[in-house]
Amino acid sequence: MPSTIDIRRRIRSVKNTQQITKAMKMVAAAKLRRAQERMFAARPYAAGLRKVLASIATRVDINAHPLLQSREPERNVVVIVVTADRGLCGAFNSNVIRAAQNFIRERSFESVELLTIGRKAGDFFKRRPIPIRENVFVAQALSIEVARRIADGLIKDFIEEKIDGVYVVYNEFKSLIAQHVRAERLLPIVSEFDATPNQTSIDYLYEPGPEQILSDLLPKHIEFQLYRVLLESAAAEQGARMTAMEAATKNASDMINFLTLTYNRIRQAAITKEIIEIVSGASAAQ
Amino acid sequence: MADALPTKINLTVVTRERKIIDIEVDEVVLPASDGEIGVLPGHTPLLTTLRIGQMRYRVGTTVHRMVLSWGFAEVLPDRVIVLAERGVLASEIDPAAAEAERIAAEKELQYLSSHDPEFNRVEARLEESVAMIGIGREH
Repeated sequence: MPSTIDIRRRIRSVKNTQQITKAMKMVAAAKLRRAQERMFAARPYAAGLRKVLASIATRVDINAHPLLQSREPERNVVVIVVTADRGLCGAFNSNVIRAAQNFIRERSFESVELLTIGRKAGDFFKRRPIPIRENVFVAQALSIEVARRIADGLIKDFIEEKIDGVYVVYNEFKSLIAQHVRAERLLPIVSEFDATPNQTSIDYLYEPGPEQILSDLLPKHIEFQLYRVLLESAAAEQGARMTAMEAATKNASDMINFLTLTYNRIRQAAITKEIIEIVSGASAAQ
Repeated sequence: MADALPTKINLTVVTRERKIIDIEVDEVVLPASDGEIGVLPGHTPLLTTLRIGQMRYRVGTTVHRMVLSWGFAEVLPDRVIVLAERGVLASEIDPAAAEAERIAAEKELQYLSSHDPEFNRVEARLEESVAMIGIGREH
């Protein structure tokens, strides 16, 4: 039977842990709010970009652009894996990593290069045979400049036919408590622009010509898609961490309750034993 | 004409990070890549790319300025939507910082050949700071 001192010590330790998980939960909640705001802030731009692309699609055969040309079969691809820098966020990281591994296994590409975003993905794949093209930490990656640099490099390699496709595996932000792993194609661009001219009846003047605007726009579109993925993943990470820490805090309370109960039982047992000893000692002396 | 011409333009400037302005204005002058374009209410629909430069917009008799860096603008008779890489309002410009940026960028440019991939980026920084200084002076 453990001594009361041992149990008291354990209760204290669990309480400390609980304070930490509680604090982490609140930090995650605050960061989540900020991450969400950034996501919302990017929405008007997304809407604008989509509109402009759709309107150009009515004038130019957008699907003829090199960045929209699918190559069959896709030989060399880059897979971008987006995780977090830190753990303690439930299955957030392992879900993405597993999904990425499955994705690579299912499609039989000739060669795959990884671009890992997040320390966790970098650390995991460093010890695996798939070559890593680049590893960026989320803390640095969450900016347009980095998204642009990565996108520019990928677009260049794609145009030069060094790579035939780029995929991204990441956690989509479903809601505050739900994340969903997704694998999306970044390059060639998935054509969602309907070329039927009845979408917008507005007949624009284009300056410079529509083709020129299009080839300026598409790289921006890819850049923006990547930036959006990073924002989503960052928000999802905070959501996952919040949920994980909430559960940990609750588990700690349950543990404390159980330990307190045991502690009281042992204490009571010790008191009872002492009384019995005194009583029996007294009766023996009579 | 069946519909009366709109008398105001709704001007929206968004970047990927924020919505900078969303206001009713009387006139907009955009730094389009082929030269400045003035837009009054009732303008023909137009799509244009933008370069680094000043955008001016007039509300009543006051003219406001801001610096835009690249991007696109969609012009409709009653609306102008600007999707910019970066946008800085005149009130946000720190002339001293812009001047320091200009000097730093100029210095860097001296050491870069025009083939260097960094060249364009630094040059863009230079142009941006020059545009900011331009606005700062007029204030």
